[in-house]
Amino acid sequence: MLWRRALRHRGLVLGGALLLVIVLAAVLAPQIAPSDPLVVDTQAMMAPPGSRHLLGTDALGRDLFSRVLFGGRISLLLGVISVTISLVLGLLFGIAAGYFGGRVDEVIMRFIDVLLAFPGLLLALLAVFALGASLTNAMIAVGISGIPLFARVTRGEVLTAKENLYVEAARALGAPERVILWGHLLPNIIAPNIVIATLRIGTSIIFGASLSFLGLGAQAPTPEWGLMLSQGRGFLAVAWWMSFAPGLAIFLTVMASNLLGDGVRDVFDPRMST
Amino acid sequence: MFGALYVVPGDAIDSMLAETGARPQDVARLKREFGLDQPFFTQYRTFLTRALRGDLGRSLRQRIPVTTAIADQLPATIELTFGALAVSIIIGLGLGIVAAVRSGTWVDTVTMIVSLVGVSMPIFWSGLLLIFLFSLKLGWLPAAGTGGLAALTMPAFALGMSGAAIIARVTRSSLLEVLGREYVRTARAKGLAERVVVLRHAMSNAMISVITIVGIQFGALLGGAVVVEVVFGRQGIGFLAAEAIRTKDFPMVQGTVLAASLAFVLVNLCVDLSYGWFDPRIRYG
Repeated sequence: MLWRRALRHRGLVLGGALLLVIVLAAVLAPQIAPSDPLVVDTQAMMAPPGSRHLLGTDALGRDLFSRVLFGGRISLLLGVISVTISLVLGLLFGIAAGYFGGRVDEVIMRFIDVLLAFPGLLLALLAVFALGASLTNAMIAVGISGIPLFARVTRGEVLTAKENLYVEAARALGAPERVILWGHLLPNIIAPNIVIATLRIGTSIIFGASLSFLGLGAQAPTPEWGLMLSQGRGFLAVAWWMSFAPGLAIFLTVMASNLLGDGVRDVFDPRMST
Repeated sequence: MFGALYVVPGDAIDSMLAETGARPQDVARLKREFGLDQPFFTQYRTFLTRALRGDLGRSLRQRIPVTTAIADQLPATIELTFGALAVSIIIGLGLGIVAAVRSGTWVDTVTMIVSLVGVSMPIFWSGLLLIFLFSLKLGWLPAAGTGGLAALTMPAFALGMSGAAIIARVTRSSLLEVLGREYVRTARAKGLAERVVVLRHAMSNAMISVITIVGIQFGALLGGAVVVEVVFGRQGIGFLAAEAIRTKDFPMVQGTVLAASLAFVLVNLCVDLSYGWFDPRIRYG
């Protein structure tokens, strides 16, 4: 029944379809791309969009359409991996704090409060500073910035769920703590986290692209969208397509994931609807 | 924060002097001068003691006090952040109220599409699009620089749009819930003008959720200010922080991130305290 409701939700279907197209384009980039995204062509530097280069070329003559396709792999990977990091660590912290309570709860939630004192992107910047500027560290940094959100939601859910009779019954039957935590509690508290994770993908992609735009994420010559925008910034007056193409790619991907996330929330957890 | 910066592989002295090929004894001397050879807790105690006196150390690159550098750049960031906040609140509230009052119509749909576009557009892209249109093509506004309303307009708009989109969604949702309540029906039955019903009776009760989001959005604006100041070549703490991170300037990174986080915490404290003003049922102490 939930799936039928999902298929009737226009936003979810539209966002899902658009995201599927983007994911397929990224996965099939080696087959679709007309040229190698790293190959330099000094004869075609800053060529405008046309029949030979669909989205034009950049300052080194590299085909922008190919770089946007391959860049999709990096941005989507960054979004998924960073959200996974946030989700897993947030779940661990939230479950520990909510289930064990007392001192454990105090220590964990004060740590989470400290993380919350830093605005999201600044926390990611701080993490990149500690880890070093690279694509992998940008993924970790963006993941760290999302931990407080998942930890707080999970803790709230666990506080409610652990009072349920099935938990008491499991304890009475002698089930070990790990079975209660992972076998009983986790399946019952995961739904809101999945909804938030879907909504968080768009934010993570933007954070990751922002770090690369500032020179703190992916490094040249990687075809990453934020980095491509940064490289195009200096040529805005003479080659606007260098900034337009990767920016449009980020916008469409984030919009698709936001539509999908809103739809998943409306269908699976209407309490959170705005 | 201090701990996170401490674990950075290779400190600023190493990266600074690696470029000049300095001798190991010069590196050691400079580390002693800046206290970077001390154990972690000694360094932290020194930092904390000085910070409480308003001394955040000296920039390793610029050799000026961090507090001086922050004080010089702070006004520009405050100007940008509050300008963006004004854009967010004015446009967000306006769109949200219109969408709620015209719920279910094409106005509502268009408003929410505009909101979706706003929240999906990366700030650095919208900033570049604004520069391309209003500076390069039309020549109406300066592409870069700090100072004056003209130089503030595009950065504030670029930074504020995504916040406006989120505020619009929350306002719409919150107002729709309030407009369905009994006392609103009573107000309409009494013959009050719709404008009075919405703005005086409904909005004051919908504002709690909106104020909460405004507080959270302030943090997003502070983070976004880093990107906007780089895009528009504006002075500010964000630009200072980005440069300090790139050059591994520990004291400057500490100072700028601390300043931004302090501002974020203070604003959210004001948000918490304002709840009692909007809803007299909420009182602290």
